[in-house]
Amino acid sequence: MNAQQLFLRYAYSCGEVQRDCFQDITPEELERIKQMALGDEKFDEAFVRDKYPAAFERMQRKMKLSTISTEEEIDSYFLLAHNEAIEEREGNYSKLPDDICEYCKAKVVQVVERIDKLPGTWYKVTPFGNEVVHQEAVHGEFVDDAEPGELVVIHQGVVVRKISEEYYTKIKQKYAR
Amino acid sequence: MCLAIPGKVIKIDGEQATLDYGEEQRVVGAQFTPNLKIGEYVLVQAKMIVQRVPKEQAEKFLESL
Repeated sequence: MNAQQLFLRYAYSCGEVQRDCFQDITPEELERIKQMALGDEKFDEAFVRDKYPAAFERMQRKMKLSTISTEEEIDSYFLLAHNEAIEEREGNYSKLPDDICEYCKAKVVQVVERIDKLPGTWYKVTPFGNEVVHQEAVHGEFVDDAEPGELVVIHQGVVVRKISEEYYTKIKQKYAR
Repeated sequence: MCLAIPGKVIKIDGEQATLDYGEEQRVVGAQFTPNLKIGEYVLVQAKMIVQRVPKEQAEKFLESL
């Protein structure tokens, strides 16, 4: 996984909402985003910028990032800057009720168990640290090998990646500076 | 921006629920939300209900759209 693929793993779940609720993304475009996230299609930055303008604008404004370069920057953006914007009820987030704001944040959670009774990969998770988690289950669209006890990042009900406590602490300290 | 739209449960059939999104209805899996009731609001990911949303929050939000 590279930084572009990581960005798209975070962005994919928002794309599902945009497709379902606003028709801003067609089913074909969402499938293309998924293929790029999986590395099966070449990353097309112009296309991705066009589909996620708010994320690029906020990365530039809050973190001075003009493009997607490192995984650490992308994790910092989603786990910290993007969550901060939601906390501050920036823009349209001002209309969102509390529980949906929490759903929209990227969060580090701990895997409790893998749910095997359904097709695809699903996990039960529990909050890590002070996180608030209301999800009954999260989808392992991009991560199908997480084990109970491991930490993972979730965004809107999708597992984005595995993460270590050390790495999470490091990006929090770096972003705070 | 990230956003999620709650759907209203209007029918429950075993482990499936029909959700009303205003302009359309969708059938989704309800395996993760036992004791789901008609009239509740929920969020969906990958065609599965993954979270309940308090009715008051959901209705206030939907009115604002």
